[in-house]
Amino acid sequence: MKRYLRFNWMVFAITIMGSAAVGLVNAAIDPYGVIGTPKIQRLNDLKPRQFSNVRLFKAANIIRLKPKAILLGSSRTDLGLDPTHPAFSRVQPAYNLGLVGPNMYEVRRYFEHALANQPNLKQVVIGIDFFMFNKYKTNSPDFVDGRLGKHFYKPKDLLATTLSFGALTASLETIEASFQSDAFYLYAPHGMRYVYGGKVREPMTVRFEQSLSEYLNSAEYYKKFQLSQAYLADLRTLVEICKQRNIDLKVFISPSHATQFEAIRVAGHWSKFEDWKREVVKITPVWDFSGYNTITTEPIHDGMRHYWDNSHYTKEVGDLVLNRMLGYGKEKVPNDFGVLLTPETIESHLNQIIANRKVWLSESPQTIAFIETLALKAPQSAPAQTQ
Amino acid sequence: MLGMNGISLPETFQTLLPWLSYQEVEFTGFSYLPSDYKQGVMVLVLLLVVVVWLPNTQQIVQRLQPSRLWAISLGSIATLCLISLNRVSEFLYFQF
Repeated sequence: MKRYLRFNWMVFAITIMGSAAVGLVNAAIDPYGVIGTPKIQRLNDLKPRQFSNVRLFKAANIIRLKPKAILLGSSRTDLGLDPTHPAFSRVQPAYNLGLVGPNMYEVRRYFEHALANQPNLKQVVIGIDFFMFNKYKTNSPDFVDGRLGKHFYKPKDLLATTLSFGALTASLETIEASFQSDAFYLYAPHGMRYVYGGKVREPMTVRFEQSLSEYLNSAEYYKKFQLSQAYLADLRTLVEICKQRNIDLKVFISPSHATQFEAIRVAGHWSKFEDWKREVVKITPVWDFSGYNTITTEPIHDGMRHYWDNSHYTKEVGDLVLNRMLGYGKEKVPNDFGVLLTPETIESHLNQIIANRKVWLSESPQTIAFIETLALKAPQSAPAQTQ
Repeated sequence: MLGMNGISLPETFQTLLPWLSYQEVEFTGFSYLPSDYKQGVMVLVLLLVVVVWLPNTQQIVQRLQPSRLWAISLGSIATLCLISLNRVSEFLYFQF
């Protein structure tokens, strides 16, 4: 009998020690960047798995850092807006809370999460995109409402990021990437994503074509579009909370490349795109960086200065966006980049965009050919409008 | 085992056994099997050998000895089970 008692204790002890070892390794390597353990070069300094867990680690970082300025929006904010921009020097810590592929509800909830953890929030910048207001854009599979608005890291998340087989494989990936210095998308401690090494691997035309094709063929993006009143209400809620709390809010439409807006046209949504802007302007003044201006019409070529692909602008462009909106170093910003829209100016601005497009097309015959290939990639059900 | 609740086969087997009608067999997704049906058949044959020839759980328990080796084996399996209970809900995005 004693032999079995000792045996049972042994099994129990090995199980506990084995689980504790897994938990300690994962906590030390911290592959998702949620624990905040120190980074050691060539061991855990490159964490590529953060990119597939953005909603998890950014929610955790908000609890830990309690930023006074937040930069909200989609992956364009995530990859393009720098929280260390000099305009934020008085409102540090600033944090890039951009999510990947969110709808407006998810963005609003992350805003509320930041506010719950920092009641003294001073500055909010939000980059909005057309697809974020698509009724068919459902919450991302990794969005968990229950982890937001809390002042503590949920025990379930803690278990999943330490005592799990998935976390162990993520730790091994982190060690491998760090040791070999090989990664692509990584995150800075202030939440901004960057391209490791600063260079993309594929030719730029391939990146544009692949990504635009995804936009055109995904039901949640441009394959189907219906303006969601619920998502507009989410933006309205965010604007009203900022007013009540005396938080400085800047709203802007992302400066994606001109071909992104051509994709909207090809998909047959141009009038909805304009209606969306009209609706947003009813809620709040908005800086419009979209359309056909000096920045967005950069010819597509390898080594582009302003873009990583058709929709994601570089930090250099993100700096110009912040310069324009926050009144910092305005002299560096091209005159036609960024127009503040109000209900009084919206119609003339929409006409101006159409005029700008005509000029752009007349000056860029190679882009017309590219747009024609886009039309072929569009779903057949969409009434193409290439003119 | 006798198919009293119907028979399910992987969708990929439909090309291999097109003469089976939908009334007799349900073709459905088996996410743990390889997508190539040839590999799927091989895996199933291998698993059939495991099921038929290797001892089942009751036979394994009959052989259990309260030795150090058994404790390490059982403790390791229990650890694996424990860390498989929790899961990070990941999502691999395209470019959005």
